[in-house]
Amino acid sequence: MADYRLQIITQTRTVFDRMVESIVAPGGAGYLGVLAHHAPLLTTLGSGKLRVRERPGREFVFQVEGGFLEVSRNVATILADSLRLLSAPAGESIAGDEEDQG
Amino acid sequence: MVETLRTLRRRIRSIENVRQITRAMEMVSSAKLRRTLKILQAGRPYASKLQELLARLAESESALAHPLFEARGEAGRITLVVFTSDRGLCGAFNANLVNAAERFAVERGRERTEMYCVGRKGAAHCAKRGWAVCGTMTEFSGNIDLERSNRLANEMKERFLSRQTDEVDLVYSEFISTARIRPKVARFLSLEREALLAGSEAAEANRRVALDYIFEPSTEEVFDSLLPRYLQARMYITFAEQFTSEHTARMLAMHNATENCEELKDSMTLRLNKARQASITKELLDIVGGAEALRG
Repeated sequence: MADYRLQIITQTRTVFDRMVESIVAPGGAGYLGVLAHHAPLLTTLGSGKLRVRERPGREFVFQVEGGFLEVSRNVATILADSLRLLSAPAGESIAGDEEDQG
Repeated sequence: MVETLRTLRRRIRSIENVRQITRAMEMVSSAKLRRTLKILQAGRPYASKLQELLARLAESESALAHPLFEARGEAGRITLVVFTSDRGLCGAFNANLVNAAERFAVERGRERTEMYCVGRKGAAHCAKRGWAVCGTMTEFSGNIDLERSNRLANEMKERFLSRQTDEVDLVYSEFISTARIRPKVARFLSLEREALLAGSEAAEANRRVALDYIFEPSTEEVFDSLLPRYLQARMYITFAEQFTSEHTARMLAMHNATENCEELKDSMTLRLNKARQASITKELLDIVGGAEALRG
């Protein structure tokens, strides 16, 4: 299995930009999984849990409220309206949590 | 003579005080500039990605039928959103913006233009000059406010869709670099297909890609939810550029003020020294003259 690049971007900043193995996202038409070499796709996101699996078997879980998921040329981009980190693998932290302006 | 010495000293002291204040304000602005610039750069990926996605979809037919793309001709009512700062002491920054807005409004027809003022200076100006104002938004204290920017984007969208206005334009300060900012007038609504395509890759390539895409739940639904977010993202970037420009302008204005103070202080010090020399010389002459008289 190959890895692919995942970017998670909110209106104010880029939250996540790494190589991942797979993701499961709450699409507008139900949950969907994306592995490497997925066909080009553009879907809306509903609200729910976004699971991101990184090698070796490490998992990030985010709470997402609305947005988009786009996949093309082996790059997945998530544009999230609102995003909250629920859990991360031990020893990992993703700089700041939401809305750190001011 | 003693009196002038004292007033000169007093003036030098007060110039020195002003210099300290302008210097402090320059530092504050440069710190704020650095912060807003970071926010501006952090916000760009979202906006450009949205535009890229929209550009791919804008080729399809359903896109052109969307009400936000409806061009309503040259005769309609115009809402002009004028961005200015809440506070002054930033040189010609606000004057330039207000002039750009007025020039645009006069060109397009004063009677069919309404202003929406973001920032206190513009609101005050429009009230004084008797422009029709349909709304104001003030008190930002120099910070970019995501929530208020989104609210403004939605409000403009509603105004357009409910036909209270037929066109929305933005007048704001474009941030090119810390050495270059300039007023810019840009169309916000209705959306123009050409403008969407301009910033992204070649249109031909987009059309090809659009054919292969899987859209979920459907092309229309994806498009419908992309548009309002695109407007919000655009408004947010506009706010970010505006505030970054404001801090740039203030920093430059305060830098110049500080330099002027130093110049003024130097010339005052020179005058003070001359006056002091003159008074010492005069006293010496008096003493010498008195001694001569006694001896004589």
